Amino acid sequence: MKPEVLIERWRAGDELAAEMIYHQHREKTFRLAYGLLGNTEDAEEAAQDALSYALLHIHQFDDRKSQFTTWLYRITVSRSRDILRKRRLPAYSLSSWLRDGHNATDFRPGPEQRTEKKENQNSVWDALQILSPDLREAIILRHWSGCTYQEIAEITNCPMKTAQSRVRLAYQKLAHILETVDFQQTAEETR
Amino acid sequence: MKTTHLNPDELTGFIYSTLDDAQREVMNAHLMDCPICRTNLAEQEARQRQISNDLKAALNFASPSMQMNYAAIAPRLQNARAGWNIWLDRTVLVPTTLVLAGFIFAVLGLWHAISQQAFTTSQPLGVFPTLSCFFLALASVEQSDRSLSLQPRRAITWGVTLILWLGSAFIGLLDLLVLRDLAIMAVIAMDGRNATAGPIAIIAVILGAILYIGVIIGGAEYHFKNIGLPGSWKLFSITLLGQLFILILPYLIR
Repeated sequence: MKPEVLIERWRAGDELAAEMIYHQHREKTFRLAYGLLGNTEDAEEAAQDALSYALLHIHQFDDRKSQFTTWLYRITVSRSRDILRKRRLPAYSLSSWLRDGHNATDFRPGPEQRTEKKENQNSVWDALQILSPDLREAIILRHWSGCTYQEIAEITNCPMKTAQSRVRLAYQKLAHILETVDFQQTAEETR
Repeated sequence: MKTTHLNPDELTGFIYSTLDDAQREVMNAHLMDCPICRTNLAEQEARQRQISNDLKAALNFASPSMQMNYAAIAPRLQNARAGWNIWLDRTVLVPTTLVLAGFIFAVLGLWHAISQQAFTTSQPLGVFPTLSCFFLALASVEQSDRSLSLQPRRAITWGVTLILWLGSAFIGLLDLLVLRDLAIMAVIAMDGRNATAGPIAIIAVILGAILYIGVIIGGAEYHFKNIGLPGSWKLFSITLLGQLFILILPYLIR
């Protein structure tokens, strides 16, 4: 069933439509929050909160202004920021990461998930956790969800030029971190 | 025609399509003639694709646990829909109460200033403008904090913004009177004569008025363009807290 039909039906009070909307967006919302927060527990809390908020405040969603997904992502980003602020997740600096041999255990997926991942994906994931929340939001929205700059600006509540420069800066930092790690690993191997 | 090689910033901008047409044209022309930059660009593009793919793979691999399910939120939805009332929503109630309090005190302050002829003579402005400024500043700080986690742009945002702007314009006028009186007090304290106080006060008012008009008109344009965004609330907070400081300055000096 089309998303707009489901939204109309939920607005009219059909609870089955709410459940269908929930299931349509459950995984994507979780993954976005997971990318921003770095751990399953917080991501589930943010995603669950965002989905229930969106469903509760469905009357505030204006489909002439944006897509439901964009609106939901905006709520998810906002909820993730709240959790980051509330729990004051420790900032992880590049120098400490390199010193510890990039075992950023606090932020990485669980052990059973981690073993199945490729090494290079792990590197990107770890490097992602070093970025500031603003930059992380921008690069995830651009590359993972394929948002336009206009949508990123709308979701992260900033001007479009800022969204553009955040994506660019995030990419440059990620590339720099990965190059530094590659260089250090090569140096260690040749020792 | 660009004569130097493209730097990493330009290459990233090119890949991410964040350059304007003119910059892109210059870069295209340079790339046609420069094999080194073409190689660099191809490397950067490959790097970007790899990062993008790794990022997608890392996130698409993650799945929520079974605990994250619809049943966990269903009771909240049912209860809320049964007794939902917009005016009991905290995100509506708090800013509305604060700006209304600020607005009422501003009207009382205006009435007091007119009845005391404070615009033409040096009379105390009373407590109402300070209270008004306090509540409006509180509303703007609350909105500024909330805007960091606010999801939808509510219709109420326009109302709150309008009252904050009108309030800051009105309090700005009263601030001019305070600055005028302070200038007179300062001249009398330094010079001991009333004769020079008049021209000094006029100069202070003119300078203040220029600043005031700039802030109010420039502020209006900024708030209109950025309505509901954190920057707008932050500007309101700074303006109103500054205005509050000027209003309480005479009490601090005495």
